[in-house]
Amino acid sequence: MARDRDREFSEGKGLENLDKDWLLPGEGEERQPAWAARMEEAREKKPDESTPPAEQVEKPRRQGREKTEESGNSASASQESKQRAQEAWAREAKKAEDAAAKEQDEADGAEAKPPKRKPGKPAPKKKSRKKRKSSDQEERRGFVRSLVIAGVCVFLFLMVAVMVVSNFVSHPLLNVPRQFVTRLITPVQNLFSGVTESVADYLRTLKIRGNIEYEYEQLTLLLDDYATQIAQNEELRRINESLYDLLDEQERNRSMNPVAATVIGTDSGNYFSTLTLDVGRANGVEAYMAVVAQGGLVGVTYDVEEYKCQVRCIINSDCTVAALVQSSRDQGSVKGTLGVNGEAMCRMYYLPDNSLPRPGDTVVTSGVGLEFPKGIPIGYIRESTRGMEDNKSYVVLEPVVDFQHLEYVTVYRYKPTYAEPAQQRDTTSASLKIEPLSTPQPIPTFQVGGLSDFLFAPSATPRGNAQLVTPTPTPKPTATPRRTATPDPDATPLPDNLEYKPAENPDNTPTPSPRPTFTPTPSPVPTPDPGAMTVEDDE
Amino acid sequence: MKALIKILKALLITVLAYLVQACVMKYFAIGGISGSVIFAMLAIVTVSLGKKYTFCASCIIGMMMESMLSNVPGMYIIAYPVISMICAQFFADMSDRQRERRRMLNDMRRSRRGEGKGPRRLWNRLTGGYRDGDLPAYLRIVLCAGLMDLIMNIVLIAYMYLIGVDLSFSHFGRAVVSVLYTMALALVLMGPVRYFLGMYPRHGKRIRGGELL
Repeated sequence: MARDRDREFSEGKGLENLDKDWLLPGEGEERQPAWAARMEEAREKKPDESTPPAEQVEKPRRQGREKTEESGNSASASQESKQRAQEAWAREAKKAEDAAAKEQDEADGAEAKPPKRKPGKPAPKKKSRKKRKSSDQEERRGFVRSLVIAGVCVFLFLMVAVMVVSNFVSHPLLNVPRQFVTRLITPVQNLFSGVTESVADYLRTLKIRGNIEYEYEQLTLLLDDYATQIAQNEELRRINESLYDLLDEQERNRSMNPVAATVIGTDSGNYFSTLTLDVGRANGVEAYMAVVAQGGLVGVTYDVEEYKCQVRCIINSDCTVAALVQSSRDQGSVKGTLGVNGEAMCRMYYLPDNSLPRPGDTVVTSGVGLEFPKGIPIGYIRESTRGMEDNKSYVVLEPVVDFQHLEYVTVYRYKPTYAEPAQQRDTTSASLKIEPLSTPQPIPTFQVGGLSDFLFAPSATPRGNAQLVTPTPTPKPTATPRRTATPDPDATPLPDNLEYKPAENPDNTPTPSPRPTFTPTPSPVPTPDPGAMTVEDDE
Repeated sequence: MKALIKILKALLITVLAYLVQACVMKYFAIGGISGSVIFAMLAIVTVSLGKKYTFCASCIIGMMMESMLSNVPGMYIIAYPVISMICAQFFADMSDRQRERRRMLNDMRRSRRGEGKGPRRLWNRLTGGYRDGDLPAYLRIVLCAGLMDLIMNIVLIAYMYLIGVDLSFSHFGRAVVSVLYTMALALVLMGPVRYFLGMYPRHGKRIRGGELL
């Protein structure tokens, strides 16, 4: 619409051709651009439309004159300059017209560009009316919208004001906004808070679970460490017990010059059982020395070198030890059965025919023959039934020592000074050196109410309050002699301090389980005749 | 309809900010100091939707805080609208009239003193001298949130001082941490919230108009 009006202005038709019925009062004047007024003024000054204004033509004329003066052809130059000035004026007018149309479109806002039509056609009136109606509706909507916004703002402001005032003035009506907001927000906030709490609890649970898993892993590692430490402690405890027993045994038999040794090798085959110890000649160990562990005889040393020696266990078939039944004092010899039937047992040969060992009787070393002392436990008689091997009867012994679990042993470096060495015994008899005894015959010393000194070592030492009775040199024939084993002529009685002293507490020494219970063999106990005895007064 | 949807979105954002502040932010406290989601949201609304939305949202927030979490009678319901409107004066989009006036003033200054040369020109570029329009919206949101929380902390510290509490550096340190936390929250939340409010046009859709409310 504005473009049409401007075009009419540019064509010089004036405002009288416009349809003023739909124009609002003053709309035409407002939308008349400045360039149209200028053109109207110029048209009033020069009615001829084809000739440009003088000011606009003068400038190109001057420019053309200057150019023609330079070229020297003034007549043709004046006509050309005039023509150029007219063309320039036409271009300026067209540019101004386009700029005015564009400005008018921008001023109209959302109005769309009018469709291009020929200059002779009249403007479409219906569309313009529709657009004007829509703009009116938009204005009304904008007004209503502004009114609503203002109402909302005023309402909120009043609410705020009422709530502020309610803090200072107590009136039931003033608390209505607060109560309204509280009732409205409380359930929503409860719901939101519940959801938030549940999410937070879940996340907290995840966190705790992560911590628990971490702690579980740490505790598992710690438990493994503790299990390892417990196993080590158990091992150390067992070693400690073994060493304690070993030390106790050495303390008890210190007179036998013991030395502790560690088993560094075991040859526990099906037919032989030998041990390798970490002591040798450098430690004073020699061959045929007694090796003791767990309160029982393990074997004898052989193949002694500088820093190691080997032990032939008593369960070997080629190891023979002189022994006696501790209860009946019946002597014999003990030999291993490992090479015979594969069992880690011993057999006791050469028992007297009238001897009747009972199961559980302890068999100890008799100290006859070899260089280890008397009284070292070898084993327990398993059964009374005798077996026969090559016309030799024997009883089966269960060794005291558990040969499968030997770790520490004690080697008794005992060497009798008054008997010939065992190595030389199988040499010629001419080399035998018999030393006279201090007394023509060993005289037993009796203890009233006690046992004989010939018995086991713990009771060998007389008690403090014991009353010693010295028998008469010639016992009366009425006195019943004690049935004792026939002394071996080769046997050398040991001094008191060289007898093996077993542990007082038999529980400390491992015994084969079940340990047989036995009753001591009834043996005639010599009853000294009090009348035949003389009591010596201590002076 | 679009205006109604926009109003509902703004209301939902407002209520959600209050609920998050009341129920969730206690789990995100840093050293016992929690930021203000409410101020972050108000800053976003201020820059994105204008002063009228800011006023309405701040009034609603103030009423809810006053009704549900009031410690000092009448403080929240006054502080939130006042602080929001103060900051909206600085950080909301300027009107077309104000923008045109500013452009004219800048043209006059340029004609008198020129753009400047060397450091002067660099200084004008950096400080926004002769700027015809607003600062970037993202920067305004963060600064608006920080200023809101700063004013609120100043009000609270002043109140604490007036009731007889000896102020120490810990109070100001807590205020600084709170302001930084709120600015960080605004920085994080501005993207999704502005997207929810329709600030970013989607591809294939043409936004008509663009006027607020």
